[in-house]
Amino acid sequence: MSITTENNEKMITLMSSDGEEFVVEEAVAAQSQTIKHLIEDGCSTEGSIPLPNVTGRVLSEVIQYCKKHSSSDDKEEKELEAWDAEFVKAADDHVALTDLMMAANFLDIKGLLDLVAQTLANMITGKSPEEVRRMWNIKNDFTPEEAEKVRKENQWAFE
Amino acid sequence: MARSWSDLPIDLVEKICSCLQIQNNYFDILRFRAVCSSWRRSSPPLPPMIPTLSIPPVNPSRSLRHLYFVPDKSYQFELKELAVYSVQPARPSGTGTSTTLLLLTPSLKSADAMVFRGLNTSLPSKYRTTVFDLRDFVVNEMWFTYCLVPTDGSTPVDPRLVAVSSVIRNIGDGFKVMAFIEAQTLAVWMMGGEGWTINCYRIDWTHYFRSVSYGNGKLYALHWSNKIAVIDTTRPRGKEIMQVVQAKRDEHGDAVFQYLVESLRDVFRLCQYPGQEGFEVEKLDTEGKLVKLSGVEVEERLFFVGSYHSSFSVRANDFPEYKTNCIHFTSRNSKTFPHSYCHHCGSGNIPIFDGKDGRLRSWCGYYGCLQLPSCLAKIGTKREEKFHS
Repeated sequence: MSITTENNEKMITLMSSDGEEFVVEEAVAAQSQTIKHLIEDGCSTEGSIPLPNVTGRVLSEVIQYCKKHSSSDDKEEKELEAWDAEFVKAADDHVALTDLMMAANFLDIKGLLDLVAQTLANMITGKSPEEVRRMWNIKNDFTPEEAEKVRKENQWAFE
Repeated sequence: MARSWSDLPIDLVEKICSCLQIQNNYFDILRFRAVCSSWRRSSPPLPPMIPTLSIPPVNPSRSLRHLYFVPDKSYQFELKELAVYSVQPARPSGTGTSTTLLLLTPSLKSADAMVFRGLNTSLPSKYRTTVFDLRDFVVNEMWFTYCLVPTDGSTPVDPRLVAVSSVIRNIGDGFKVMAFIEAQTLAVWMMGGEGWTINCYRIDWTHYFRSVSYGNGKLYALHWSNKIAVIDTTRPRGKEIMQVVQAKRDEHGDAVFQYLVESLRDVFRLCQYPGQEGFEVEKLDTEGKLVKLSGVEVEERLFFVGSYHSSFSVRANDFPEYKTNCIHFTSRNSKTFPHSYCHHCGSGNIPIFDGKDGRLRSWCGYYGCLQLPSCLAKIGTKREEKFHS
């Protein structure tokens, strides 16, 4: 269902996978290409837009990002960068960032996707493969042949 | 929702890897590829370990003495990049901040394993092996050095005698290369909108240049006669001029050792006079003048100098285990500063000059020696072809 605020902003309702509802301005929600297309297809006129891949916790973070980015213009680029840095810092832990990245991908919000990907890349930087595996619960699934190739690739020698 | 990165769709893994690629640290990509098979598949092939760049040919003019090249013959060169790395054992996060430093420069002696010479401090003995596994280390490129390799297989121009304005991977409009290619010729290649221009500066001074360097838009070439040729590359193309700065002579005569070192964009002249124990440090200011500095003014930098390798400098903050405000003298063949073997830890002692009290003392903990390996002379020649065929 679409409603209109006093200053004539069109509002739409988003529903997370766990049933939480968020009422946001259309301009904010339209930062997501996925939602934008749903609105264009007329999905927002009948009740809320269901987002089955995004939990309420993650969705509230995404909305926070979209609100900030729809209200700022180019002049505030520096300030926005600082805000982005704080934003990913708040998400902090890598599991939360992974969830955020999945959501940004599903909702097709390029800026957020780039931001989170870069943050995760920075988190890997300087960590040994073993530590990366442990942190993200990744299984070392190399076949013996592959493992040998990896070993060779990583071998350095002194004279 | 994903609880682990194993569940992360492959296109998102690729996206993260592409962020690493932008940062362009060879070793980050290497480690990324060693995590699991799907990550390995989603990363592109490794970039070449030693980037090279073809630069246009020059024709050294006829001169009385030749350093490397036959006069009146056109030479095609490749610019090869070598790096000084910092290496420290990878630690799980939160288990202490102590760093162990190892500085290395690569050579191309073996096709399977990169061969290094290095120096280190307090490296745990378990890592003192001849072959080590990069997955156990965090490696960063700290400093770059370049050599010019003639494509016809003749002797490369030593890294001490080649200066560039930025690293090869950041090459763009305004990229500059200066090399001392012949007894009396300084060649300068400059890239601009319409491609390369080459200028050769003829110098009538007898003897050779010692080293060349780049900083703050200027190319510097230090000559044996204590003169420094300065080429201001910020002037319009073709209008660059060469200035000459005459360094002072000490009352005891000319400096015994002198080095030109680029450090955090500025260029310094480090020299030691006869009968003197320590080094004097001078900075080349924006007007190309030499300004003498006291120890405190170089505190943020660590200098490593030696006769047979390219001298270099790193930010002192990055290496808390090193004594700051010091000049590490890594040349081996010096009567003034003899090196010794330390029976205690099995590594070498090298002299360092402490800028704070002006004293020279021996410092234990170098493992191997830091110098561009002798096999560097063979880069790009038959040896490399042999290994790559």
